[in-house]
Amino acid sequence: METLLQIEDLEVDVEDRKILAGFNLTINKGENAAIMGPNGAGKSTLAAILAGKDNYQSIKGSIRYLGKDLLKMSVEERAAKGLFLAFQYPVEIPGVSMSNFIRIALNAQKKFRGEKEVNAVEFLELARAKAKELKMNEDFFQRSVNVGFSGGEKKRAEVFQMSMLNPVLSILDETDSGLDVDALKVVSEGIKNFQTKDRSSLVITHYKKLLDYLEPDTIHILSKGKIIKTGDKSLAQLLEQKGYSGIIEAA
Amino acid sequence: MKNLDSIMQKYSDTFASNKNEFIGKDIVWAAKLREKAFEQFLHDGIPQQDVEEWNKVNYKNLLNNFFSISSKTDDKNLLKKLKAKDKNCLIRIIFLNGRMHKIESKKTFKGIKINSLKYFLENCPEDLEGQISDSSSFSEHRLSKKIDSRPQGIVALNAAFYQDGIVVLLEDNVKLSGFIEIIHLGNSNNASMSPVRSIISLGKNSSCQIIEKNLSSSNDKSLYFSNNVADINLSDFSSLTFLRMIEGNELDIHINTIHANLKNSANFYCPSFISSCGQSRVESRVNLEEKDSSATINGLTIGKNNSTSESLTRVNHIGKYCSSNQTFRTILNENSQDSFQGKIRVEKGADQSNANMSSKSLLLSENAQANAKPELEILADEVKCTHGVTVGSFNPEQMFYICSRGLSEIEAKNLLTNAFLKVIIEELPASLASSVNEFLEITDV
Repeated sequence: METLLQIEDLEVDVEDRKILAGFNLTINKGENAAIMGPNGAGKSTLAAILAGKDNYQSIKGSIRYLGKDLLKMSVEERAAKGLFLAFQYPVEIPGVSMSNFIRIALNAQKKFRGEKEVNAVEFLELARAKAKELKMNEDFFQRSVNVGFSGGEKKRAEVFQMSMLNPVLSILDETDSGLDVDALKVVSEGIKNFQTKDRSSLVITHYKKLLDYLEPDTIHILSKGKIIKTGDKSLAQLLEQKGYSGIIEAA
Repeated sequence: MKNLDSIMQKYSDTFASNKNEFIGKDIVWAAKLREKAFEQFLHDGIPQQDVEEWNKVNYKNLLNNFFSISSKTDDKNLLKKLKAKDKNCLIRIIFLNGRMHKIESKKTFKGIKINSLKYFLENCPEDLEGQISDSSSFSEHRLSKKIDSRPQGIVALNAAFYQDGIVVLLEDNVKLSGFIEIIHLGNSNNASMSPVRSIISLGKNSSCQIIEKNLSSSNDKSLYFSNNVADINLSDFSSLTFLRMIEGNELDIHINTIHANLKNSANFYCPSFISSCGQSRVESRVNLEEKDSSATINGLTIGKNNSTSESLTRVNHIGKYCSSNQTFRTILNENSQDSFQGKIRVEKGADQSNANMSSKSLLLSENAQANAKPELEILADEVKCTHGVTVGSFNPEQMFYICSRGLSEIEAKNLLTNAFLKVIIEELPASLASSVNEFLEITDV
C-alpha cells in the first residue's frame, strides 16, 4: 500500500511543555484512520500542526506528506495539495459569505495546482448538490462564514467545505462534539459518503459513537503525546469496556 | 506664543482689509453674523490640543502658519483632469480655491434653486435668512454646565472669511432622482485657505442626494487648507443623502463640518470617505429636533504614510421616537493616525430614542495609531443605546482558518479587509456606488 502521510518521532513543545513526544503515525492512501484519546493527550495539537499552525515553541521530527516534507510547506500549499482540516472550533468571519468563501478557496487551490478555475454557475450547481446531501438549507450560502451558526451548523458547514474542496487527506478534529443524535447521523453520513479508495481521513474523537458510523480501518489511542495502542475498529469496543485508564495501564 | 500672536494679527488685518469686499457685506444679518464669528475666532483662536475635541491630533501646520484667502483662479489643466459627469449625476458644480467656477446641468429642475452663495447673497438674500447658523450655536455644553465655543474655532474662521459656497434649496414635494455633485479643487502657491459655506435646505416631503468631494490640491509643495461648513435643514418627511469624499496630498488640510437639523420624520443619511495623505477632519453635528427623525452617519477612512484623520460626531436626540446609527471603519497603514470621537446625547424628554454607534479600526502597520472615544450622555429615561469600539490587527485565528482553505496570506488579508469595509459599502444606494468604487480604486484598498 502506498504511504500518504508518515510522521516520525514528532516532538512539539508549547510553553516548555511537551505536548507530543515520540509520536509516530502512518496513514496509507485510501485508509480511514481514527485517533482517540483522553483530554489533553495532544490530539488537537496534532491536527493543527498538520494543517500548518506555527505558533509552537518548537516542532521536531519528520512529517512526510505525498513523499514531501510537510513542515516546509506553507498553510495554503498544504491545502492546495489536498490536506484539509475540519476545525473543532470553526472560526467566524463576518462580512464574507459562505459561498463566496468556498468559491475563492476552491479557485485559489485550483490556481495553485494550475487547474482551470470554476465559474459562478458551475460552482453553484456543485454547491447545491452537496448541500442537499448534507441536508443543508441553501440560505446558508449567503450567510457570513460561521457567524450565528449553531454548533451543529458549524460542524455541518465544515463537512460541506470538505466535500466542496475535495481533499486527499481530511483531518476531522472532534467533528462529533456538540452534535445531537440526529446531527451526528447526518454529519457521519456526509463523511462516510466522502470516503473512497482515493481519499484518506484521520478522525479525531473522544467518543465511540462516530466511529460506529464511520467504521475506520485503524484506530490509534493517543496518550501523553504518543500512540500507545493501535488496532482495528474493535479497539473502540475495548475502550468502551475498559475506559482510557484501563487501556493506558495495560499499555 | 509670539508666532501665534503675529498670525492672529494677520487674520485681523485680512479681515479689516476685506471687510468691504466680502460677499453679503450689505446684508445686515449676514454682515452681523460674519462680524460675530470673527470676534469669536479672535477670542478662541485655532483650537489647540488643550481643547478636548482637538486633543488627539497635532495640527501644527494649521497653528504655525497664517493662511491667506486663496485667490480666484482659472486653472484649465486642473479642470481637464476631471472625468466626465457620472450618468447618475444631474447637476455638477465645480469650485476652484473656494469659489464656484461653474455649474454643469443639462436642464433646469422644477422646484429647486441651486447656485453659488455669492449669487444668492447678491440676488435673493431673503431666501437664506435664518439658514446660516451662528458659529457659537454648536458650542459644547460641558457637563459642568459651561458652554465652550473653542471647539468651533475652525467654524468661526469659516464664518468670518467665507468667499462662496453652494446653496441648494428644494421646495416641498420635490424628489430628485439622481445626484448633485460638488467638487472642490485647489491650486494654491502659498499657504492659503478656502473657506466654503454651504446651505442645503429641503422642503417638506422632498428628497435628494448630494456628493461633496474635496480633491487633493494640485500643488503638493505648498500648504492648502480647505474649510467647508454646511448648514443642513431638513423639513418634515424630507430625506437627504449627503456623501462626503476627501482625499489629499501630504500638505493638504481638509476640515469639513456639517450642522444638520432634522424636523418631524426627516431622514438623513450621511456617509463620509476619507483617503488622506495629509490631515483631515470630518465633523457631523446632527440635531434630531422633532419626533421620528432619523440619521445614519457612517465613515470609512483609509490612512496612509503620515496622514492624520479624524471623525467627530455629535448626535443630539431632542424629539421623541428618533433613531440614529453611526458606523465607522478605519484602515491604517504605515505611520497613519486616526481618531474617532463619537457622542450621542439624549436630551431630557427624548423618550423612546434608539441610538447605535460602532467604530472599528484595523491597524496594518506597527506604527499606525487609532484612538476612539465613544460617549453617551443620556438624560432621558426610556432609551435604547448601544456602542462598540474595537482597535486591532488581523485576527490570527481567522488568518489561519482562511489560509487552511487554500488562500495565501495576502489573499486572506484582502478578503478580511474587504469584509471589514463591507458594512459601510453595502449601505450605499446603487446610484452612488460607482463614485465610491472609483474612490476605493484610487486608495488601492
